[in-house]
Amino acid sequence: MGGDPIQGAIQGISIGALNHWEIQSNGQLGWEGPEVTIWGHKTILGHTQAWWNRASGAITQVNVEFDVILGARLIYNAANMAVSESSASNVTEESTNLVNHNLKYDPRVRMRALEDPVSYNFPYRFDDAILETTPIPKSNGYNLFQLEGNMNNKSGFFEIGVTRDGIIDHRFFKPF
Amino acid sequence: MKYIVIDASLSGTGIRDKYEGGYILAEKLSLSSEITQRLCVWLVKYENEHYNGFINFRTIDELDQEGKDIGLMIKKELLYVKIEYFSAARMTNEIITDESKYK
Repeated sequence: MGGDPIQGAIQGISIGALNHWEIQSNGQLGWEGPEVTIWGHKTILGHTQAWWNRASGAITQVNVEFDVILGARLIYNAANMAVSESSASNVTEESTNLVNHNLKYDPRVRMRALEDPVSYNFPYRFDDAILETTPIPKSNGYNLFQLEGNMNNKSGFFEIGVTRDGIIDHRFFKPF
Repeated sequence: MKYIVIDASLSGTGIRDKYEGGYILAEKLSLSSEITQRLCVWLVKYENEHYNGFINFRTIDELDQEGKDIGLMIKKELLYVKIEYFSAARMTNEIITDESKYK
């Protein structure tokens, strides 16, 4: 892996590796790749604060998130580098506990996220906070929850729609 | 060429940018007021069906037909635009052309 070390690291990661963390030589849970080592805490939320340790000695904090539906998303934000993202698919069941709420997701949520990731595919770990807002009641017992935030340098609302049966059938980022 | 999708998603504008993702305001496409008004009315009707769980198939058929008709109107107003219709109820896609009614 040459070029941008972070990009190389992202390309080297695989969801299989993320799902099979082991105790590393430093005694911490992690995954060791050809040029990088990731370690940190794999939480029940499927969210990991990890650090890349490359042969160069550079250490960069990254966030690894497991997406309930779409797979894993790696987000890094180094002091002097632009924020970027990478994603992988085929996440397994063991890493799907991203949220604390007990609501179920309608399959249309996933389909929408695949159809237009810009509008519909924000991290699932946001959902608990969004669902803590005061709902906007609609007809037929439907409730909309909105939380102000930012995505892709745009301000707007993260929006979740819940049916009267407690099914989340709508997740949407609505820019102002 | 712009590629837009007529899509009655809850909280959307009714017009989605297929290439860039996200929704486009009808005003930004310089569409006629007739189309923008029809789009607004259609979105409200579709929104109500979403709250009702999309259980009324006949209404959904009518709304999808109306959405395709709106797409065809847009196709006739704009040059160099590819238009698709996405049924927010059925989650299906169709390309809209002005040669044959829908494909």
